[in-house]
Amino acid sequence: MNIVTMPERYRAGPAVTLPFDACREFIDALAASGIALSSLDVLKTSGIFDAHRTAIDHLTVDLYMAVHDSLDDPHCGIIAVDIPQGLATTATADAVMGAVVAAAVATRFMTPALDVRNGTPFTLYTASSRNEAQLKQAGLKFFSPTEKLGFHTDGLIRNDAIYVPRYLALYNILIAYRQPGNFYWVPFSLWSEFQHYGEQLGWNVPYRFAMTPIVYTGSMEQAAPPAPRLIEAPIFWRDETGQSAVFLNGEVAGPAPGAGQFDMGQVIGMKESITGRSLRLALPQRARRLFLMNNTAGFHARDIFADPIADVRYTRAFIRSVSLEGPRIYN
Amino acid sequence: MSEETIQAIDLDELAGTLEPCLQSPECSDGSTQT
Repeated sequence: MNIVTMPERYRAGPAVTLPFDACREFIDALAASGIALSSLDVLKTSGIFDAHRTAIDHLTVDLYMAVHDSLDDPHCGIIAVDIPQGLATTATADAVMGAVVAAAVATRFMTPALDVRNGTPFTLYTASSRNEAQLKQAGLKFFSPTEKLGFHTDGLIRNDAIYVPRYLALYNILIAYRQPGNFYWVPFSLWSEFQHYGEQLGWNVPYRFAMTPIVYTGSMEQAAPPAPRLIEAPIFWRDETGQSAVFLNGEVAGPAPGAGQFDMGQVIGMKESITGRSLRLALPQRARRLFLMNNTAGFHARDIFADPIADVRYTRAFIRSVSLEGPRIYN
Repeated sequence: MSEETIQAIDLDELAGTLEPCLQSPECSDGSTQT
């Protein structure tokens, strides 16, 4: 027997499956309102979910407590929700319906920020060999599916203010790799050096970050694609009410002007501590799996996708939502 | 999901008129209209 064991520091993260019938009933409820799910652009009108709150409540009734408890548990903060296949007869229609159901589930637990370009309650990401080559040619840092993505938290920039969204939703529509590996989560509460690095790097002490730019397909047709930009934000943030968050994404470029001395070794040490010395939750990455996370309670990372499937036009597609809920940590 | 299913999914049809993002950054730059 081939038994795959996880390292001692790994624990299996929680996962639930949405009942097939609940998904079908939700799709039928949308259809009864005249909403045909032929593509994801139907969700450009964000009011669709607002108008179907009862249907979304019904869709999520069996898993609501499990998700809610996992997100609020300081020793957890993440849960996977699997969306069943076979909601439609063709592969593309089934993929659309799975993504619509996932996006609807996410809105039960968060208020998603709207995508600035499309007006959808999520951003659609597609990766392909051609796109990757275009981005590299344009000199942009690119996180390929085959590139390891280290532990980080996600941020949100709105009107030049920096937020840490409380909730994140990430749903893989398609992964064209035979070995997609795991998604990882380190709850702050299980990282023994949280307080140590909070003191070393300072609470509410601003740093300068080089952010990875968002690149929409249309941007690649322009003469100059967007360049990385520098922002300022504290790594460790807290307020007088006891709320706290960690901002760790992009590349730490140095201290904010006037912020005093800076030791890059502390940042490197922090990342090594999270990666190498903390207990982590592991959840296998797969298509039709929605990850819901409390971004103010932990760091996330993913394995490299390995063993690509040949002759596919796209290597990966996913949707990602960030919540409007969450602290404003700078400016 | 089988390899046949992966190959059968038409992402252009799935996206419709949505403009997908090519990059998967860790930060949503909501103020950048690019």
